[in-house]
Amino acid sequence: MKKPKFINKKWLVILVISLVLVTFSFLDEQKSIAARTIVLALSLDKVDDEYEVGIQVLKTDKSEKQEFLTYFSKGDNISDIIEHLSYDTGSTVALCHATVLIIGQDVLNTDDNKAMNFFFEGEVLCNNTMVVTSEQSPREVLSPTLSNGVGSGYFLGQVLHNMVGDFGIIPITIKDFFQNKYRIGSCVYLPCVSLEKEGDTTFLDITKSYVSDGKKGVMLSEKATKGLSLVLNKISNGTLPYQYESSVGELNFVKSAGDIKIEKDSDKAKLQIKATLKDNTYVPDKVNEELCKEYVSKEIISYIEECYNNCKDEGLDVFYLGQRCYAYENELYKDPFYLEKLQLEIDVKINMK
Amino acid sequence: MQNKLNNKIYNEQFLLLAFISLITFKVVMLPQYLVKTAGSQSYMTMFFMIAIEIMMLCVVYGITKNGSILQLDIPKWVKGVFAILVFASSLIKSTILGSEGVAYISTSLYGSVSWSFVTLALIIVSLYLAHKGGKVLGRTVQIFFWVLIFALVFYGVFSNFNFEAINLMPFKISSDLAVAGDKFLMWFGDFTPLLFMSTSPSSNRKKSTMAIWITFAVIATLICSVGLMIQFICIFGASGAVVGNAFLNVSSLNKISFMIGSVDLPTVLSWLIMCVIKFALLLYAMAECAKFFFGNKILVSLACGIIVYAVIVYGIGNLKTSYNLATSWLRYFAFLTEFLVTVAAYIAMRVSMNKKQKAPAPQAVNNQGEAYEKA
Repeated sequence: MKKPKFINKKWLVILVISLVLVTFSFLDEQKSIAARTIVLALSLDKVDDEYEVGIQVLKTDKSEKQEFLTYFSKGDNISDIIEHLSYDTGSTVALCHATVLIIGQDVLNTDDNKAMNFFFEGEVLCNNTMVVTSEQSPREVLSPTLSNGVGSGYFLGQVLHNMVGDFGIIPITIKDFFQNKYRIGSCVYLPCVSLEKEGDTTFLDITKSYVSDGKKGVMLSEKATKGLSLVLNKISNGTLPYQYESSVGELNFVKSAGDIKIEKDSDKAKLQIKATLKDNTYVPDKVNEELCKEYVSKEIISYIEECYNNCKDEGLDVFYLGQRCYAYENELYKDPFYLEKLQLEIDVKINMK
Repeated sequence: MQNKLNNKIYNEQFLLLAFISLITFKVVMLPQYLVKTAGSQSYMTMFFMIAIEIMMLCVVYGITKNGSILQLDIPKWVKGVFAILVFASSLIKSTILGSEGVAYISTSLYGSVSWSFVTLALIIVSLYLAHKGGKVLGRTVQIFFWVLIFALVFYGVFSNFNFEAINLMPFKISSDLAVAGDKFLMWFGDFTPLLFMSTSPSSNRKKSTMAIWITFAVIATLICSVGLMIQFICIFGASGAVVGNAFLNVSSLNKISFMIGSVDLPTVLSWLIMCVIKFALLLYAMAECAKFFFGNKILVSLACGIIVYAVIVYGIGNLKTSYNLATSWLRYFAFLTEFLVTVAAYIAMRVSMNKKQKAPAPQAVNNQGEAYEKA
């Protein structure tokens, strides 16, 4: 005799699937994209021993005109501030699409990376988010709308992402910021942005840079920043002017990269810059290549020396020589005054195309 | 006999399952823990342990070629001991390592979804696969193989990062490497679930083709574990000690991420598939062991799922507890069990084969068995 079938297998499977789907539909913690405020850029500063976080968002409605809004909030704790900002904006603040973080010099030198850890370790920001500091307060740089109608924070993020590999600019992501922070010497370098005004035109200047080890910092001039970018960046774009005898011209960077080696039992750090340049300005026949190379090499060395000496005077190991000593098994990195004991030898090899 | 057929897989499926078994939980939190303990040379620990695992998998393959561990002609009490040990080891691994998967889904993928929901979803899918047996697991992994390949190719084509080789230097072997190897034993030695399957060559594959597949599998395993570790160190350096979810953080760095947002979806998707299959493999081992004592009933599999769910949600509940448990004495138990059971199973297999060779084979019964299997 056949046993009566109480439950049909197919219906049981459908029931289980429905139950699971219904249960998951109650996951109301998940806000839809419409209920989120997508942050394009943010700033972080310390004001009166409190953190001040600013966010820039794009107001979207049916009209075609773009409106960039900025919100600021203060507090002791970054996560509380972000919650406040969520109240202010009326929806959950989502930082994962932020293109740039403008960080105050005070935060860099006095905060011991507490706030930055929140953004990096907590995976709040994307690894590709650019980090910059500013000559004015981060608030002043983030909030204005530039002459082209774009919010300055958002514009800064876009520009920096497009400038990776440019001569004289040192864009750095939050991932690289922390990579450098964990190196011997704890030195970080980042572009220093300045909001400039010329008549009715408001624009951003990103030609300077700032170097900090978490306790002290030094501002690098445009020339020194060029030196820094030559040593630490792989350059694929930019121009270098030259002048010898009566010739004046401009060389384009095809590619350039720096390499520093320190031998095991040596106190000499050998820096080699290999650059391929192309003269587009004049008829190549009229250019004295050797003189041109000599001039350019001297210029490059002067850029690098300015950068290195400015940082060394402040005790900042901007070229990570301590880390390189460790990598090449040179015991010098154990000496607290290794920077003073090491000598930098610069060798520039120019290739003309 | 039906159970025997349910656990029969082809060699290619075995390779894929072995690959997933080795890789899945080594690419999430382990790189961070290794960097924290052994610094920039920690990839050597990963290489050493992976090499041992690959060698042990050869032994496992040798056993499964001759049938599942429970089919061996050995005393029942020996099988019982194997079943208890593998059950305990798989329970520990599925709950402690499974928590990593749950934590990743609930926090990194969804923001802050309750562990309860994520575990439930993961267990329902995995348990279904586990209960269906090795054959279904093999078929599933074969179907999703192309997703894994797509994710790998996508990652290879679009990856974009500064490969700072200096982060790997100096090349020296220190005691920290051994300390790291010892501390994170829990993440290594995941092969006992495969002992419950029996492998056979597929009819349309030549031996030379199989050799190529094996070479590919070994290379892929090394790339996805040691290669990822090297890449992780080159990208993050010492800051890797504070970077969770290695595979996610590495894969998020690509050429088009700035244009269209984070494009780590293929990698995340492929890892999720691997997570489900790995989880199912561990549940499968538990269910097979439990079925040895309580019979082939769905309730037995369900009970295994409920135990794992309860331990993950109510016993562990957060990543910190999971880490503490993973680095406690439990790691020695799990690791030794994996190795001892495999070695003991190999010896048992040799004994069982000797017995079979000595005993006169009843021809008719064998033919009947073969005919049944072919059918």
